[in-house]
Amino acid sequence: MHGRPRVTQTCDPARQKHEEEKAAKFQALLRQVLHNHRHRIFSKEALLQNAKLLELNPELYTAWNYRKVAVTHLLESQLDEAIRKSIVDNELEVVERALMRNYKSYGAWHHRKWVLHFGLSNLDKEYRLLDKLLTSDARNFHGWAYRRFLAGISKATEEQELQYTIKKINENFSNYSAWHSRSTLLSKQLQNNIIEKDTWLKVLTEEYDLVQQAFFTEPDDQSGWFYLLWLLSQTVFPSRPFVTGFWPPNGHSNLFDPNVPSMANCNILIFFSLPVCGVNSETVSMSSSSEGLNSEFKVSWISITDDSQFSKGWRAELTDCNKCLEAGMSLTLNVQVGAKPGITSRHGPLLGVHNLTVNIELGSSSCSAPEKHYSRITWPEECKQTSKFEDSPNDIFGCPSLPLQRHLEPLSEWQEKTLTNQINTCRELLELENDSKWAMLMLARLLVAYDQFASSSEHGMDEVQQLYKRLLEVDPTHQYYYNEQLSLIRFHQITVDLHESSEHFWRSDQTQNLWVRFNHLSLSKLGYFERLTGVQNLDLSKNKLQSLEGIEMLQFLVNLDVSNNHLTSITALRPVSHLPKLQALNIKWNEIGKHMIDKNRYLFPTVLNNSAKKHLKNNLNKEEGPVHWEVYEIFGRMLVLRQLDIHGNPISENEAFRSNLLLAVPSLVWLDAENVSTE
Amino acid sequence: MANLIEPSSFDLIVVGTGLPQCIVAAAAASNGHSVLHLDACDFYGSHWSSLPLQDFSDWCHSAGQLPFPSPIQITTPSNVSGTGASEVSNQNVSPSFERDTAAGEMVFQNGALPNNGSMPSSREFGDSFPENSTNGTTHSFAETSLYGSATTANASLQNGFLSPEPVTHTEEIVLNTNNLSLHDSTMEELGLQSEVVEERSSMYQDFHIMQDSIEDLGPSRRYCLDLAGPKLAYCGGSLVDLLLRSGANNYLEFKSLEASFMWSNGVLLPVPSSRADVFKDRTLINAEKRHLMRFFKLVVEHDSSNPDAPQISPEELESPFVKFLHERQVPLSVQSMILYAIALSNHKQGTVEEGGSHIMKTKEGLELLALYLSSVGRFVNSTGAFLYPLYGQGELPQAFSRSAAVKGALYALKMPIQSFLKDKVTGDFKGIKVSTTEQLIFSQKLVVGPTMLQTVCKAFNSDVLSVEGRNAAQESGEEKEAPKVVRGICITDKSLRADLCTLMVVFPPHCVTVQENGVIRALQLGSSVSVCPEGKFLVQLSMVCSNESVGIEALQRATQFLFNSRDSSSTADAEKPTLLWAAFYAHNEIYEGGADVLILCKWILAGHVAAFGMPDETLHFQKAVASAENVYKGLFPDDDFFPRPPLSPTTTTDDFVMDDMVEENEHLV
Repeated sequence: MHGRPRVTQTCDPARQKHEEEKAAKFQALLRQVLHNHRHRIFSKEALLQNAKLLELNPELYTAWNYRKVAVTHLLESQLDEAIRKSIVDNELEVVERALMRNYKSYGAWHHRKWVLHFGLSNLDKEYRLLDKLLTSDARNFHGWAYRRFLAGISKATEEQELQYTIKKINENFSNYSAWHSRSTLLSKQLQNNIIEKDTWLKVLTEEYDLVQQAFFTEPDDQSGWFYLLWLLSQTVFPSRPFVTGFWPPNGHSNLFDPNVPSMANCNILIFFSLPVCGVNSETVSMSSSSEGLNSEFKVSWISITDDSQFSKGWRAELTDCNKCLEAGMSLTLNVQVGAKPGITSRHGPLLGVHNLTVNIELGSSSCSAPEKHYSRITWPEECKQTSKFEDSPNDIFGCPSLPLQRHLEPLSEWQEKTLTNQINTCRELLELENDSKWAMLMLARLLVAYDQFASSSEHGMDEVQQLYKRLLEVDPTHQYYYNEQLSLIRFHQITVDLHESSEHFWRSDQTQNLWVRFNHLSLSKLGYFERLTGVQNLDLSKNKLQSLEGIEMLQFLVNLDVSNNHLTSITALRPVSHLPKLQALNIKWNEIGKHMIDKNRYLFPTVLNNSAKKHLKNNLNKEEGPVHWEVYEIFGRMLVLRQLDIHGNPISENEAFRSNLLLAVPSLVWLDAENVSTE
Repeated sequence: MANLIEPSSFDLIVVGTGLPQCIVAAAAASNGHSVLHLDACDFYGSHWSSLPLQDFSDWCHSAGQLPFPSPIQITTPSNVSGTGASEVSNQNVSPSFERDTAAGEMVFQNGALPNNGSMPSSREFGDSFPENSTNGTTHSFAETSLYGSATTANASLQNGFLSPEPVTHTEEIVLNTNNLSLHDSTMEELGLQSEVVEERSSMYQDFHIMQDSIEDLGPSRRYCLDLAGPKLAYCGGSLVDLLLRSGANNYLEFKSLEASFMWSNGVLLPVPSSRADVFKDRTLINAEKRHLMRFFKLVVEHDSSNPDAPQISPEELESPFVKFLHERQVPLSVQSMILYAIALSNHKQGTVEEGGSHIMKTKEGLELLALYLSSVGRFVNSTGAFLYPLYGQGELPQAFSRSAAVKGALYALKMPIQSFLKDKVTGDFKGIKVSTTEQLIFSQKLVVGPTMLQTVCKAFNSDVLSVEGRNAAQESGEEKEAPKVVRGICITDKSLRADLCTLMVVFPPHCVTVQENGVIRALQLGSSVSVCPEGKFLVQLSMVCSNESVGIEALQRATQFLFNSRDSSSTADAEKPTLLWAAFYAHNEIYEGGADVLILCKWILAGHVAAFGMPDETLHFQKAVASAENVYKGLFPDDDFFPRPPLSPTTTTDDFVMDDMVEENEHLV
């Protein structure tokens, strides 16, 4: 079923006529079946017609539903076990014929599972049929899913199923379906505590050995490598989340201004290693040193990213309920995360308990009262001024050097050994196969992981960089990915000791703003945002950024320059829309408007999702002209945006876009060089 | 006598139905030449046939005489005796007629195997036949059962030579005289002289039969025992290619060899031949796997037209293959597997220093390996590189005969020839004289089998070796000593591996005997390929050796390694199958001289007469096909050897019918 070229069918009139006749017959049959369905006719003939229809087209879910209704009806009125069994058997036959037509029909497979739930069928026969299917098409994922389903209801032991996967893998180790099934079964064993922890390590070691056979036999086959990734994720990378950082850092103060919109009032932030849910006032306890004040606060935790459920960053919004707080007051909050269960990622609950003490000082923040007159800022790039920075980095980050959170637990002996083993294995393979891209990629990933997790960072990033540079030569198809990884490493190297040098810091003469500048670095991907929390002015101009993913972590950003990059759509700015304090945004000389949607993302939230609709309702009145949905969705959320420099993008010439933009962002004062304030 | 062959002149006469002869006949017929194909036996295949157990046992007891008496007593089909000539004449079987499949079917139903119910009853072929004719009924030709004979009857009738009344022997002679066929005077007039054919009675020697009784082995006819076993076809080899090109594949079904093993100190080690095997094999360490896979890749790629493909220097190609394997870091344990179980070398491949007369060159080894690897997975349903035909090897010559018959070749079994006709002045071949009817049949070209090889030599001794053959012989320097092949066949009660049915075991040199350098191969076949009853297994063995008795001893020792003997139940290893019956024998003179390709076709005389030798010593059919092609090119230099039919988009080579494929469609979810 793999690697077979599609046969293009030529269209000749005779054939077309034949097809038309067939279609007419099909239509007639369909009408008849729907008629039967509507009038609840469950006669033998009606069921036969339905079966015929499904054999012609198994994708008709209505027809399957009709069968379900009919079978339920027939079984209800029938007590004779033999007849009940024959009804069910007949259903299986119908499904079988439908599957012969298209054995990837979801409806048919679903019907089969439904029928089996009556418990009247011979499961051995199911296994035999399935075996035939998986012999002829070993990578049919429906077949594999059905096999797991059968194993579930037939109480087949995991051991038997594991044996089956190994049989299939032995037949053809390129069969990722078999590997995947194996990983599923093993995970299930672990979850159900069938395997003890010690045995589990032994099992994993054996699996490492098995998968090694695959990539030494054929280093270019990806199935084994994917399985290895899964194994590594079971070994080192915690599937359980942990806290990577807080804002403000432990023991530091933050300003709380009760008079500004809660969103713009950043108070307490928690960052996690993986997207988590369940962050709320229950799971994060807060107690104040001054007892009486506790009740005055209403705390709500808001995700700072797109996903309101699972997020890597959570922000506490404090509301002063009784309006009794006064400027100049100060209170100390003890925050405790993880003491009560409830915070979990998609893979497991939070690791560890974290305590944090924060001082909240009450006062007026700069953005408390929107300035009537916002003077346009000059971007660092536009200044003639040479680099100059005589301040302390603390001024930039709002605190003395931010302690970076590493992985909480050091690697166990076994973990470290396994990781080292795999690094050595990859090196061994690379010695034999200098150009094996999978070996290079895996080695690079392993070294990065080792660097992050191991207590002693003995592997330099230089080797990783060399590997990715080799990969760029060997496998140019995936150059974007490799460049992104190189960019991440560069970014890592720049930011790891950011506090130590002033190379990337800059003070503007005009506004006295302190900037962090990462311009002209060919960056294509950003990361390590937890190291930059607290930065207010960031210059990322003249890079190769296609995406701003993750920048929403920088909740304190006021001015952001991403001019001269490769952003291609408005939707690529989505992360920016989660920055509550952003006042000036420079997106000049990008490629915005080239694509309607951000092609760098795999999933596109529909333009008609709730937030978009809400904005549309509010803002879309009787305005004429075409509507740029994404403008409302993205810019509509930037409540304090004053300055937008958008010149030099395909979309900036578009009049409709401009008018939509002005509607969406009423706070805007400067659009490029033009003052657009309504006053 | 009724059954004269008509017409009396053909483009090509082929005598003996061995596989290469049948291929030549089919090739000639497909190119539109008129072909007469005769065999003195009453079954197809000559030395390439598969026999029922009783026949095989008889054959052994007669020290390998072909033709041997048909063991089955059959009464003459009732409708035959009363057949009037007029009824026969209704059959449209003249060679000039286009034959439909039904006609072809008829031929093969009758000729399929000697045990077929419609076969003639005559036990003593040479004698009974004339007797029948003297009895004067027209049914005698029907007894010969063949197409060609029936045709003859019809054709003769049309020509008015066949009397509807019973005729006497004398009358027949008179008739024949009129037909300018018999009298010396006629020969004289035509400027011909005859050379009496002296066929060698047996091509085999040194028969050893263990366990005489075949009583308790089940029905004899459920067995198909190959005379020239073991042989297997490469999925990507020239035989399969020819089957597809000639259409003969329509008459055959195959099963693939499930696994190969290497005998190593009493253990059967699986031979890694595919990536799945390499993956599974835990005896190889990481680096070895990589070297082995790289080597396989090199083999597949080096011959391709891809300019980036790895290059192998000409010197390397001429160097010994074993040295090459060593240099390419092929794991030591796998080297002998590659040499003996994949490249299928029959001789010990030592280093150059050790010497040896049959060192495989790198070029040769790579070609065989490439063939092997391209064979693995050529057909969706086949698991390995090799195929075996259902009902035995003897099906192959039949399939080619059938394809020849469909394209107009005339077939006659039980038709021995008495003498060759040759031009008195030039000595050139002019035709043959059939023993039974003494009819003269004319042709410029003749192909015979190994039993007539010497007669052909003697009769046309003006130019013995073909040009190609002689050159090759000269190149190789001294004449090599002719190697001999010993073969054996065993019947056992269970499989060597419980989970497998068809498998091969390779004994590398010196692990059974140190007196010989040959490789012993044992091919186990079972009821899945319909060559024995269920619950029984056939194991065919072969070895190339210099001394027959040592060779046969080695084969016997190999069977002792593999099986328990029937009587030694006390020392029996419960795991091993028990040997129920066995026979061992040696081929006489497979070939002389050193020409490799022409091992089977020994002489092509001025493009007119060719003779094929005995089935060769290799496990595969590559040499047999190559020699058939060579002979054909010698006989008909202007022809294409089975022109490829234009590829239509709907038919691909994957249409090749395999038994599994049929099964698969039965009940697919």
